[in-house]
Amino acid sequence: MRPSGVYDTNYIQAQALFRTRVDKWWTWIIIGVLLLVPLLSKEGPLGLELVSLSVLNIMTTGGILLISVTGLNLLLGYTGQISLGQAAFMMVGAYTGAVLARQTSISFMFALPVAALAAGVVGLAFGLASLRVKGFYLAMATLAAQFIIPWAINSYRGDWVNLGKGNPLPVPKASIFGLHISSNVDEYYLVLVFVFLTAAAARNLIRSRVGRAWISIRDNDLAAEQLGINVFRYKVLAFFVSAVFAGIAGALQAHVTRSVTDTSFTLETSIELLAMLVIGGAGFPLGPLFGVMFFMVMDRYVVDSLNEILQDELPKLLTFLNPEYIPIGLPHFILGTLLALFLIYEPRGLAYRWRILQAAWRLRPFSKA
Amino acid sequence: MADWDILGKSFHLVLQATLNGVLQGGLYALIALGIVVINKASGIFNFAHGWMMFIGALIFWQFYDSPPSDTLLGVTVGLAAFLAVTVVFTLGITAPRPQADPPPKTKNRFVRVVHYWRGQQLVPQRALMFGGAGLVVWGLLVFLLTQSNWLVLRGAAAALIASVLIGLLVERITIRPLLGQPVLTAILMTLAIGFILQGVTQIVWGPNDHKLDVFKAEQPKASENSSKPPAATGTIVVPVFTFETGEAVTTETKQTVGTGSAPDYRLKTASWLGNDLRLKRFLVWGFGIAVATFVGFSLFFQYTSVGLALRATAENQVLAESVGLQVRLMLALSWAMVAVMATIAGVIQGTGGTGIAILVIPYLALRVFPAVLLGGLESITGAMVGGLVVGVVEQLTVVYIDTSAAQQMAPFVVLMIVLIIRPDGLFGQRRIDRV
Repeated sequence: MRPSGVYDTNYIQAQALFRTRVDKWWTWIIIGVLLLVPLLSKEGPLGLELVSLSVLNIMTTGGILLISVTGLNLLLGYTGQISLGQAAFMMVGAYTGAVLARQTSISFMFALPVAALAAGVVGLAFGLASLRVKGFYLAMATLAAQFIIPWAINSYRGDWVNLGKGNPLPVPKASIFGLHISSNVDEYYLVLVFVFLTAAAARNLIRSRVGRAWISIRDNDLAAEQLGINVFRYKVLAFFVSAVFAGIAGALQAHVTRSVTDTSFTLETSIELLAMLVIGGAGFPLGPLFGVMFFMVMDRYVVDSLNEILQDELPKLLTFLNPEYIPIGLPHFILGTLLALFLIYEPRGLAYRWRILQAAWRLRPFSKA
Repeated sequence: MADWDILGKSFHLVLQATLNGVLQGGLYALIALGIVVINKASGIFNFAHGWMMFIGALIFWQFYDSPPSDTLLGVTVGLAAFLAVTVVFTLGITAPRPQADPPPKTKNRFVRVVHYWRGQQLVPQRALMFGGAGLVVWGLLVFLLTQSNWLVLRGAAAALIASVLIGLLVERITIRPLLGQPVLTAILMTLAIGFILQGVTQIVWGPNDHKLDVFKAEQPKASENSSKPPAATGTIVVPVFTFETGEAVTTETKQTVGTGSAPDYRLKTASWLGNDLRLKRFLVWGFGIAVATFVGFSLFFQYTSVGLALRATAENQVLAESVGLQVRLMLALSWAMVAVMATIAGVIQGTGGTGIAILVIPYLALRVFPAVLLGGLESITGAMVGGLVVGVVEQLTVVYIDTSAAQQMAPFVVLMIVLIIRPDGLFGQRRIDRV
């Protein structure tokens, strides 16, 4: 929500990257802070240890997730098409990147776009089902992707893809223009660059003709067709772009973790990505950021501390519980509960809440929120 | 006929796989029926069905396989009493007083509930009738839960109560607040329910698989104490289907009995196929139970007044409300029924070789979605046909490719074909969008 009095009076204003100066400042401040964070860590030039390496790793992982969720936001939030196969498309990107890095001498800068394109093409193939179906039916088609793709990768008998049951595929270190990605700080900056690139790409897509077509399809696809929008083309394009983002995320994950397994791209991962988006706010530019931040804080800090408390206290209350089982089920239980609560009480997510807060701050001291 | 080949596999193998597929397909049809009923009633596609199967099967296991602890027993007996009381009050043993006070103007829910009950008076005849029925039900449940002679009945009683409660809770807490929300929200909500149920099952029962040996081999008592090797030879009476006469006759056959599960049923087809057809015991029984449940529920929907009300609610909620049906009660009822169906299916699959495995049962429901789409989302006949087709396709894939292909690929290839060629399914209604 904009401050009162800021109206779009021409198309240039309506398509502006930053509509108000405050937007612009905030964006630059966030970019600056993100760039400066590793300098305060142990591996930075100052050796300050203000930011521990574990926090840096969490931010790297979160950045990878953020790229994937941004792609999902374009698909679900702006085009209104559900996908239960985002993790499978990440898997395609990860395996393509890993195989290119292991078997060829193609540099990382070329391997990553290839991996992203491969994921995009696979996503497009499954998106073709959106020609005839929508809603639940489309969810089923993407669910098929989530089963068929891992099966295809796992059942391929060739040691350049598949090292047998349960063995992860090791990935060599990436190097960009002779610069080896080896430390945590390097990985952080690598992921950060791609987070910026994908965020900018998403923002630009949304404020262009493509984004407006997507939004009209989301709001009413029949009406969009009457407006002269080629609905099928834009739907498939949304699937393609979303899968490309997933492919980038997958390839980055392969290079950051230096290994690829099929167990990190399950249906659960897909649902978690969806949950992040919904909790953050689907259809808002800031939604993926809020969602991933919320999920990472939840997953890495809150669940752990809750585990310790519950392992001590819960078996006293319910004597039949085995305390060893609590850490196994708790993350699922908490994520499911949070998702359900958000769907009931704030289906528009944290980003919407953030806008309300902004409006309340502007109206102070007369606001009620 | 013994040397027939079909695409490089012997006729016997293919026939065996088809039979297995039909038997497994009966179970799929039961699961598909649950998904179709929810879709008709609430208009959403239930992705949590597999987890409802899983938790139902685990509760059955808890009361069947291990001596239930006092805590669990107490909790369940309490819940049974709660259920009985709820049934009594839902059926309505009270009627409004002739002179009622004017309704309070406050929005306080507690005050309003107190006012409602002050305006009611007990109807003695109804109280006797329904109270008696409630007491009988409660007594029967408590008896079944505390006895230890018929373990299957104890497990079934516990699983029945628990699944009804789970269905009601899921509907009340998560689905009802979403009335009127878009389709995507409902899908995400069922996924969230799946996550919650997954968390609960793992916290309570842990990550390990549980064996559910309902079809145990009948061992002579003596062999357990003596130091005999585990493989003992016993005489078992199994119904054997003879091809020549075309009727089932019961004969005594000598078979080697392991300590594990009971032997497969055999069809005496060695004379013309070269080998006997084997039918897994749990699949045969499961097929029977699944088909009986399926037919029972279908008849219930078709021929009872409650079934008619349920169908009316599924057809058009506003119209159903306007002719005096209690739509919210009907929705709750359909969720409870579906939870029971899910539990039955989960228990049947749990008695199989893989047991109650977290990697098998929840994913079984996902493999049934293609069956539902093939049959059509609104059709009960379609659920049956789709289930059988997917079961047969899966088993034939096991023969021609391998097991992992059958589990992960075959149903979903069927799904993609259906989506592209005929998205409404074989028996589904054509959807027409109105602007």
